[in-house]
Amino acid sequence: MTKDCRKWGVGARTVRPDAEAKVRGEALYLADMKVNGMLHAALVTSPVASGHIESLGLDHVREEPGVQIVLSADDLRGANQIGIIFDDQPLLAAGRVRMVGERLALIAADSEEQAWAAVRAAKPQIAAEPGVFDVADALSPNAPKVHDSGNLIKEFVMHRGHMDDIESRADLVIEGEYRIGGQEHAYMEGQGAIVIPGPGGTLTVYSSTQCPFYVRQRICRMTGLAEADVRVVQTVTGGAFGGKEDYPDEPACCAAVLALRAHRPVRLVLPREVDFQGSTKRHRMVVRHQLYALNSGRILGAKVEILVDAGAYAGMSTVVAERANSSCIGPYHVDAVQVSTKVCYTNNLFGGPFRGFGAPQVSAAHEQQMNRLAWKLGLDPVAVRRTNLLNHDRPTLATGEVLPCADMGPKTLDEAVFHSKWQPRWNESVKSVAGVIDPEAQGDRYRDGMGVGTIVYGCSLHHGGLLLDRGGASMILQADGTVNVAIGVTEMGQGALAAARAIASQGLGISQERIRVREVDSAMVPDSGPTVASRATLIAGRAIMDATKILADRLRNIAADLLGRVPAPQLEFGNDRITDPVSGRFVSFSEAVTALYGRRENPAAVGWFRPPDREYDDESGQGGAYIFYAFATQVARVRVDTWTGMVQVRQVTAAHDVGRAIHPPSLEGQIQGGVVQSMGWATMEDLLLDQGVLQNPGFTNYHIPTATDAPDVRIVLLEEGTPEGPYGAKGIGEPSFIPGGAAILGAVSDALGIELTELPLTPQRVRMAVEAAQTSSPEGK
Amino acid sequence: MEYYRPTSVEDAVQILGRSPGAACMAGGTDLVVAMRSHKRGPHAIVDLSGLGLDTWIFDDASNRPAKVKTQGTKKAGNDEQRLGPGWRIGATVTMAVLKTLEDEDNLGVGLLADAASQVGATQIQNRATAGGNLCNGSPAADAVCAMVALDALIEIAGPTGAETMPIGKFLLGPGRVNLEPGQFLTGIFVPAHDMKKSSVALQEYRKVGSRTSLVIAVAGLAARTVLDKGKVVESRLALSSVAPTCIRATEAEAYLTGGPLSPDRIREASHLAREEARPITDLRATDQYRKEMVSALVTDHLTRAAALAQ
Ligand SMILES: Cc1cc2nc3c(=O)[nH]c(=O)nc-3n(C[C@H](O)[C@H](O)[C@H](O)COP(=O)(O)OP(=O)(O)OC[C@H]3O[C@@H](n4cnc5c(N)ncnc54)[C@H](O)[C@@H]3O)c2cc1C
Repeated sequence: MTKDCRKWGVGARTVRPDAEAKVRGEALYLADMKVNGMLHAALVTSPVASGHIESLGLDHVREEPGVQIVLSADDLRGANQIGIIFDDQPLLAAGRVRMVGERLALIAADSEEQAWAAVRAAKPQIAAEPGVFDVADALSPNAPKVHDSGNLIKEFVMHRGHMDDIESRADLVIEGEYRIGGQEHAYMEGQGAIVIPGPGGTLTVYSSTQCPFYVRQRICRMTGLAEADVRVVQTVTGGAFGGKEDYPDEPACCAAVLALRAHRPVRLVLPREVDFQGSTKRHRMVVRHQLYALNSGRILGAKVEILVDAGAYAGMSTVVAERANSSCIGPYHVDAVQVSTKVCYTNNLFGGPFRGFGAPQVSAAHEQQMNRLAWKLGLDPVAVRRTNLLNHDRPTLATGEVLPCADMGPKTLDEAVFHSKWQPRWNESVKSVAGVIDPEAQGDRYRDGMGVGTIVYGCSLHHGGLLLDRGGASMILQADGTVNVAIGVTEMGQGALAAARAIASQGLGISQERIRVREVDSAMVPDSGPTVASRATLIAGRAIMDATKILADRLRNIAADLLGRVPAPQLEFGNDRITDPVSGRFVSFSEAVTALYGRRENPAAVGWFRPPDREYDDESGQGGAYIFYAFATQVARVRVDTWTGMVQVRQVTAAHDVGRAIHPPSLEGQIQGGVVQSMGWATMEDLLLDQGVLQNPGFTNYHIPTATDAPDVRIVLLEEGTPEGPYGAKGIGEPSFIPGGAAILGAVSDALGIELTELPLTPQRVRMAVEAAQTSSPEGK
Repeated sequence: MEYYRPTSVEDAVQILGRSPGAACMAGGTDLVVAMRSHKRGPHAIVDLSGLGLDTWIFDDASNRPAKVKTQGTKKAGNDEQRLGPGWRIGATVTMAVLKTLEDEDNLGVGLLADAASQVGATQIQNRATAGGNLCNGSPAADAVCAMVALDALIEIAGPTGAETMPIGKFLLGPGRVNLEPGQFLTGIFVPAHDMKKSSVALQEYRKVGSRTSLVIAVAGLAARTVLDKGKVVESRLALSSVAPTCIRATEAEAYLTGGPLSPDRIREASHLAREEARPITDLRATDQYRKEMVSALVTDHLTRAAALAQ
């Protein structure tokens, strides 16, 4: 491999701008920040999942040392409402509690220790009532109602073609019920905010968030302040993964209410256990999937029913469910589908956005369905996928959308299959029943298997979020030839700053070192929507391209003058120069900027990007749901210890349709991280609930992968571009996560010869499946 | 909160004597975690890091009588025990140090080193101590399981003087150890388990959990199997996380001793060990799964030991 030492433009392998401070421990995270005179907030929360508040038991709390303010629902002046889409969620519980960890009261004290000590002095009396703890029961007529409106929040559907037609044509139907587990985001630092009241009732908010404009919006709604008076500054954020999409608004609102009351800065940072229990989680889902197929392995369509466990409040669950709904068929051609996705209230953990946004759960189901079809017909799971994947001859998704890039599906599959040396072993696995703990069975103890997951992911927001799908960037050329860039999407570890810098550097043809990109400040850049849905590079990138074009045009004219009678349009930017390709003469970028300042011309520009409109019909779930789509295939190679049930994911080959690698190290980091996070979700991360109480609210018993668990990740990039993306780039944040769980579920099944239908595949669960197979098999002991 | 850092064992005894309810602190990796979650809230902390108990020596027994008196619990009375050569390990020796204990002759201590190397990860191993692992009283304690396998002796200081007791008498149950008020642990003695030149040994600690490192055992096995001319001459099987304390699978050991490691005998031994385990169901695993894991760990160890003998 030749070493690429180019320092400018997209594709350059530069060191991320935020790397050094983070590695040295110098980056200032929210919990590291101190403000003079600040109070520390803490939350009194409910230990009960469902019940009526008889009394809050706050009498002694006010007398606790250091306590300055205690607020309950009755004390709130503004609207006691924090629901982001539905008005179903109070900031502080009034009358009734619906989840463990729900806020009952806010405390502000002189120190953090005093604040949480005061929480322990609170003795809330809550009369427990029956609750709903399994989403499969939520809609039964006798289920207790979590909200008076009933337990169904919303239903999404997708209808296409004629189901009765494919029912009669099908040679076989594969039926499966999949129970897919949730996941904790496990970001580095707990949720929180510091809110500083300023003169004239203004607020400055430091928030660990991926969506500063959501924080501002909800603080304004709660306090009645104007958007221009609430400045939200994103602090360095140590991973978010969707967990800091909507939830950060809650601690920020708590701190804001207290700060306005105290006229002092207030800091709230949730301790890990409080965060675990109360903040959002990946949704648990039940997916009932019926796949209609011909004996040739060609699928005709599917009937799918999805139940989404939203927890006690709707939050963003409906939006997540919408993506699950439109993703549940996968990247395959079908003649007919009938899908229903029901989002239900329960008294379990609060469901919310998480990398993949509902797609990983349904992908695990649709991919295992494809495997089971293959196994049933004695075909190779890869062959069945080839038979059914979209391509240029059949480019239409189940949503009715026609994909110009449909050939990327088969291409990622081919690459992943080739580089992984695909060799499943299902046919041998089913013959023998593994796992008898016996000295003479030692040789058969470890089983290797392979599994494949192919997905297509719609980048950026669903049609339902179209209003928010736009964004800006502002740029200033400084007189010395350095450049400041402000973007409206956030860096949360994924490399947004590096990508933005690379794109700005490409647009101006200058070294990345000259460019500084800063974390979001809502008073400096226009609302650019949330940093979610693998859209940051797209939105910031296109807005930056818009701004660099304005600036480059100005500089081009100046350079043309400096070079003397050269036609401006032919000048090229690159290598920190503006060059006339005809004569080879150039002016340096700095000279051009100096001349711009000499002429007192405008050195600043604001760029904007508005994705094209799309048409979508909610009634049928048909239409243009997303701006463009990225395909991916991952192949997992696992080794299962049949004695202990331990799954070792040894290798994952990840072939991704990335469009264009803007900042390759960050892109590869996203894929590595997505694979490992997905592996944790699929094999060990188990949210253990008992009547809504999380039994493992910390890293002692909620296990995420360590370096010693991480597989060998082989990355294959397909860079064929997309016209809408900045320099052709698509999104990677979520596509890197989604296929992994499916591939691992398939691989473990392949290793054991057992059709598994549950995630996570914890050792105990795998061992139980092995034992069940032994007892049901005629040769079993 | 009061904080003391005595510099001699006598001072420590005195401080502990006059502040009942004070907590000893070694590495703090259990204590501080418990304090942070408000499971413990001692009014005073006695930091043991100044006592010079952070070293170990190999004692070849040349300077002491072959027999010493060791005191058991009051109930159990006094035992006579032959104290041969062995390792004297201070209470505050860390896992990082324990895991460097070399054992080229398979005298046993390598088993302790192996277990220590599986406690937490590097950061924890740099702080976590042998004494803390013992006094915390967790049935899942990895290093303790190895100490149980090796018949370590526990050395205690207190208002009534120094005392030594077998580890089996020291471990009482989850979170409970045999220390009277004012007493604390000063060290352990790990006897060297001699073996003939013609013998071969397999000694190892293995645990099962939901990931490959930084994991609390769902079940663990500290085992030492010595074979001579195809027969088991020494069998030590200690189990963690499957009973109120780390325990020995004594019936399986007795069964194995004197016989070859045939598949049938391995099967029977692992069955006996499985029945000796008395696990509970908790959030980490069910009792059934834990029993299965005892079978898996014992079968696995013995099968590999048998292969070694061939
Ligand atoms: C992240 C993490 C991972 C861990 N992983 C493991 C693991 O894999 N395996 C494992 O076995 N343990 C594990 N532990 C638990 C812990 O690290 C060990 O039990 C360790 O050996 C405790 O030693 P310490 O010196 O830190 O004890 P401390 O916390 O200082 O003390 C523990 C207890 O013993 C008492 N005590 C300590 N020394 C003495 C003494 N000399 N005399 C009397 N009382 C004393 C203290 O008062 C306290 O009650 C882990 C802990 C953490 C935080």
